[in-house]
Amino acid sequence: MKGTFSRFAAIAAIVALGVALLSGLFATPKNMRAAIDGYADRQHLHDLRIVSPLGLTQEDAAAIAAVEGVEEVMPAYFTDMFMDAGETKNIITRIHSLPTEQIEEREPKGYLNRLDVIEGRLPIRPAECVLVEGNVLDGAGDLAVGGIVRVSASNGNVEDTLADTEYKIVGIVRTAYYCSVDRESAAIGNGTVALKMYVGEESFSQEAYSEIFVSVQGASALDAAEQEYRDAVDAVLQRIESISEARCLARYEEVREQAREQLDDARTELAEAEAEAAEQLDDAERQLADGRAELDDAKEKLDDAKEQIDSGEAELARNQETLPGMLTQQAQELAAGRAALVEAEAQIAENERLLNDSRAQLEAAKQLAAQMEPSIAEGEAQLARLEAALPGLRESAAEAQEVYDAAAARYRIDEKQQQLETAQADLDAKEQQVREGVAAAGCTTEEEWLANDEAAAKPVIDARDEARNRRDSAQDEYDAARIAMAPVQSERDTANNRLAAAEAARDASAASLAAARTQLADAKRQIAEGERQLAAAKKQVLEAEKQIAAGEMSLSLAPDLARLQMELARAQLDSAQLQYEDGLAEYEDGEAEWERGEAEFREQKRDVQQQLADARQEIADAEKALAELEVPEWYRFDRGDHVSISSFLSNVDKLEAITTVFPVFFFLVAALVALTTMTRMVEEERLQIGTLKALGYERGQIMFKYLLYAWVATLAGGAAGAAIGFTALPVVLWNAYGTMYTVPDFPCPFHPGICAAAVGAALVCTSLATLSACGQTLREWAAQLLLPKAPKAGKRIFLERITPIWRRMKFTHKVTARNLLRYKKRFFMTVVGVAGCTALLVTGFGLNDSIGDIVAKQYGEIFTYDLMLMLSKESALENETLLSRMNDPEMIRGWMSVRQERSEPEIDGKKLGVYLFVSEDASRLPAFVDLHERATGAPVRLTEDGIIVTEKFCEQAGLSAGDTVTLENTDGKLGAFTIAGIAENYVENFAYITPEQYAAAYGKAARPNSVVGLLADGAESGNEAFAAALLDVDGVAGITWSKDMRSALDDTIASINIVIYVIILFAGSLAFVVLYNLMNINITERVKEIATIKVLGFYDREVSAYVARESNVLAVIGMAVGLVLGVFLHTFIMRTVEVDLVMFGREIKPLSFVYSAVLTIVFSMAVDVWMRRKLRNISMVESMKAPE
Amino acid sequence: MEHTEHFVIFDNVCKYYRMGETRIAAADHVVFHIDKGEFCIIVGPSGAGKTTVLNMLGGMDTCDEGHIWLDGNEVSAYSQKQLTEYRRYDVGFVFQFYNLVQNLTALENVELASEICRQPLPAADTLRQVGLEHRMGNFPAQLSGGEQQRVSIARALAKNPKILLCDEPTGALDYKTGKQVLGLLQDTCRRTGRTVIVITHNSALTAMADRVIRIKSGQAVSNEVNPHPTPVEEIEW
Repeated sequence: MKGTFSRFAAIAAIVALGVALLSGLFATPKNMRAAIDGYADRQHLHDLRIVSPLGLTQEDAAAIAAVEGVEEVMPAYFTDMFMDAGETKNIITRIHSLPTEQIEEREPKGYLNRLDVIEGRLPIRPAECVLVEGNVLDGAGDLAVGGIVRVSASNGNVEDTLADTEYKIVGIVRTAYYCSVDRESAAIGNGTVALKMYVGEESFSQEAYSEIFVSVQGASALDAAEQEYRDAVDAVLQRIESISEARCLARYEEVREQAREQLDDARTELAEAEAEAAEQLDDAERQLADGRAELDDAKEKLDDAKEQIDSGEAELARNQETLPGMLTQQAQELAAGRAALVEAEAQIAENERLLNDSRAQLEAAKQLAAQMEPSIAEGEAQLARLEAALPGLRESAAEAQEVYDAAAARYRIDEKQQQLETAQADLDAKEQQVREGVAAAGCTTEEEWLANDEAAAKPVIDARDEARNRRDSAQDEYDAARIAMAPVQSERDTANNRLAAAEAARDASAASLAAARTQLADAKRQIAEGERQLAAAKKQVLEAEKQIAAGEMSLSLAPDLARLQMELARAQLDSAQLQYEDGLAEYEDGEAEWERGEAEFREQKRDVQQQLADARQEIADAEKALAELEVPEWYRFDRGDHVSISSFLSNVDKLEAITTVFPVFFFLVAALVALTTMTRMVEEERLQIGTLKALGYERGQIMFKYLLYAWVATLAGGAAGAAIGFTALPVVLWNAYGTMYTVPDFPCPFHPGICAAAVGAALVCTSLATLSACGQTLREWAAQLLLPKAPKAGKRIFLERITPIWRRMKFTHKVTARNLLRYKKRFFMTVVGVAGCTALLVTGFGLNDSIGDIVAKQYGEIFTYDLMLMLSKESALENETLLSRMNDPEMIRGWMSVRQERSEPEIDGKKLGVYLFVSEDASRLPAFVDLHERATGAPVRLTEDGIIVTEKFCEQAGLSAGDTVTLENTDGKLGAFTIAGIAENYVENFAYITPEQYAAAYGKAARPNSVVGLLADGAESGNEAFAAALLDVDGVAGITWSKDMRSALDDTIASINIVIYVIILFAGSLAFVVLYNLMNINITERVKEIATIKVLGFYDREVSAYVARESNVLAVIGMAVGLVLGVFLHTFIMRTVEVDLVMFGREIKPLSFVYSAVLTIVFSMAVDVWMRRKLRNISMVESMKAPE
Repeated sequence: MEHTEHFVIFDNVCKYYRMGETRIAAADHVVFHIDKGEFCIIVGPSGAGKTTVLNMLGGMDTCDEGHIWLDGNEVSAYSQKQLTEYRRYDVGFVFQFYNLVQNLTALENVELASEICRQPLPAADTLRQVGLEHRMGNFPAQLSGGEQQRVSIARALAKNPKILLCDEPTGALDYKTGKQVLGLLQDTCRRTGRTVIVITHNSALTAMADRVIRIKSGQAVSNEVNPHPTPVEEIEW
């Protein structure tokens, strides 16, 4: 069997390909499930997750822990926040809590969803966090270990949720909880979580837990993808459900109480805030008024200053005008001053002269004083003498007096003197009366009067004469006394005279002494005075001289000074003006500032009022919320609801769908090729078989020889195939999903069952082929076998009878045509082999089209809306924000509210899922959902005639247009509908219903629970501000963007594409091997013929063409058949692998046919190139030797 | 040796084959020459190297040493491509086992050769020359051995070659048919003046040749000119 190595290799290769693909594709889904299950078990991933709208408490956790079958319970927090990391702002982050006390334990209890630390460590202190590796995280920049993330300001008040707002990244973790790139939906921002973060539970300040994770006893031992696991978890879930009602009620009471308290607090706070605000506003107003007054003052002052400046100006002007006059006047004054000066000088001279005189006088006075002093002493002595004489004299005087007094008393002198005086006084009075009477009677003498009026005059003159008589008698008496007394009197008078003389002498002496003394004192005073006067005069002279000098200087400086003063005044005025201007500017600034202040005040006032209004609104909202507060219900999620795990498992399902059917077909083709190859080999070996037979070998022995060959080849190929299939292929496919999932461990175990099945099947195929071929050959006689098998006779073909064509054909083409039909077996084998490969290629590309297309078709052609809002409250539709956002023509081209409801009707014992889709306005539906028939593309209109149901549903339920279907709504009511049309659809099933039909069927109007919208041209999908605004609206539960849905599904598709590429690669390899094998057989069979034409002088390319033309034609025919076959294979596979929820596309794109055809041709050409070498190496010499 | 002197010249031509460690010389310094228009028979026992010599002359094989000239051109210096051209235009081959293309009729087999030549003889004419005008449309399987060999000769002739090389043309034929075929070759040589070289192990045939070259153990042991060749009909073996 020498020289059959290439054949051996071909068989081995074909078997290897078949086994590799079969085992690899069969094993991969199993491995993947094992991988995720192992990963989840290792990380103690939760089996159940409980969430309540009102939060959960420690009591809830305890109650769940007590449920039978519950293994561990972990209450935890989570929240969605905007985070800032360095320059990157507002990263939508989901923050989870970690049971800090447990994570450090060796065997933690109540620590589910454990984390694998890839880098760094877990958070052990407050304000530390770890990040989950993933899309946003590239391990660089601010999101690396050691970096800081901050809760963004845009979150508003976070104190109720988080205790810390700044976290240090201490590690990067990997978790099965987030092992997928699938977008978790967030309640903030654009609705998608970008970053996931874990912090210690102390960092949460939430009042209640957000969720409770539960693990089920014995669940980790089960495969989470299997039904047993689901049953085990479901059983526990039922039990938890049964305790939930009581717990929910308790929680409801608690929350209501809290809310009430909070509301009261808020009310109080509001009242306080209102008071405070009023006060503050008053203050501010007052301050403003003060400011105003100050400004007015300033204004006034400024005006004054202005006035002053103006008057100063005027004065200056005036001064300037009067300056010449003033100068003249000053000159005059100067002259006068000078004259006065001269006078003063004269006076000084005079004064000096007088001074000299006084000085002389002073000298004289001094002399006089000196002279007078001795005479004064003499006078004093004389005076003393005189004084001494006085007392004796006074004594004699007194004696004299006494004598006199005694005499007087004896003569009653004093009495007689007094009588005399009285008589005299009486006489004077009577004489007066007479003079008066005479005067009164107008007479000149008393006699006349007496004559004229005797009566009147006589008494009066008589009285007077009588008085005269009396006086003359007194006079006589008194004179007598006196003469009697005269000696005494004389004596007394002499004594008295002597005393008086002595006293007078003393007095004169004393007087003259006093006068001398006075004179001396005067003289001395005069001297002192004179001297002082002299000094003063001297000083005066000096002063005057100085004054004169000063006066002269001032006189000479006066004009300049005046000018200088004027300039100074000018400068002062100017500076005053400047100051005034500054002041004015300042004033204006102040004015502006005041106005700003006022505006600010108004604004603040408005703000404060707004805030208060807000607060009031908040309270009102809270009141409403309290009123609306309902008894919560626990939402229970199992792993099937968990985004990462379910995404992973559903992808595995999709993968499995493809990998189950396809390899079988592939294997069949491979087996077929192996079979033909084996057959041909045995046929070629007839000579040897004949020899062996002739030598007496048993049939069985001979057969065994070939069987052994087949087995060795098959087993070798099978071993190689299994090696690749169980190692490389799963890893390649796993890596395809590696971009979507971060599941670290991927076990690649050997699956003996799959291996045995694959290799066994291959063995059976090759063995059967060998047995049948050997059997046929061995039936011949040895002698016959020893003769070379008679070459097949040339034969005219049908084509030759069509002479016009035949004659026009090139000679070599005729040969080809005849050869093709000559070897019918070879023809058939080649066509089948190539057709099989092409069909596989078509199927591979077709899978791509069908699966790849559904996303584009569903979210591009059918769901033409760009976004969908999920509403938790119908009232959101009246919200102003929502309306303004949705009616913004810049952003939204159109929108419509719809109701979507899940219905799971059971039809023919099959439970099917379908969404009731009730549009607000059926006539506008086509703008958002394009309903059309798949095959024709003809639009299907939703009218009152009946509902529109999607294709897959009809297919599964065995329904067609015109049938009636009964669908249950979420209230559990049944409604019958007539199917009016069937529409193309790929993902999920939908029943499109008009509101009228809905109301008629269920007796209740359809309340919208979502909104579909079309983006305006140029509006950006996923617009964050837009989404954030809508998500803020109360009652908007979420927003999904069709583009995101598309890209999420695209990721899946991309991974499936890898699978498809693997399939295509294998199909291509198979095509190559088949073509190579066939070509090889072709050449081996015809080596002599080829040698002959080489000898005849055919060029290499002519030889190649001569041979290759045949195989090329065969390849083309095979390809054509394969393209047709591929359609059937594809349809079959698609129908087999389709899952309930999804209808795969049924079409293969024209391009896929082109690709398949081109690939087949390319492989065929590659084989040609490869064969050319082989042809060149055919030795003419060797080939000529053997007989035919 | 002056290479323009003779039509074919072998000048110390050697051809070695490797058999494991040892080197076997299939042609060991072969020296001979043939003139134009001669009917030459190369004779020798089996395995003497006749076919090697013919293959080298026909451009199907190359020599390891020495030089081969044909009609003044050094064949031994040709490249693969030139050798192909040489076979195509200058050489006509007749094999022991005919080497006809089974899937082609007699006429088509001749045409297969004439199609690629520059000045081919009409295929039908050549077949008529070899007496197969009535078998032209038959497939080789429908022809007897002699007829097949005659088709083979017709194919070689139709190319209108400078030289006709025949390797044991009668080896697979019965005596009578063999004679006929040899007669045809001799006749062709005489009639067309074409140089014909026939290889045979049958020394009896040497009588009909113009020149006889004996080869033994890879060496040309003699190169004789037969001045009076005997017509083939008169030769018995």
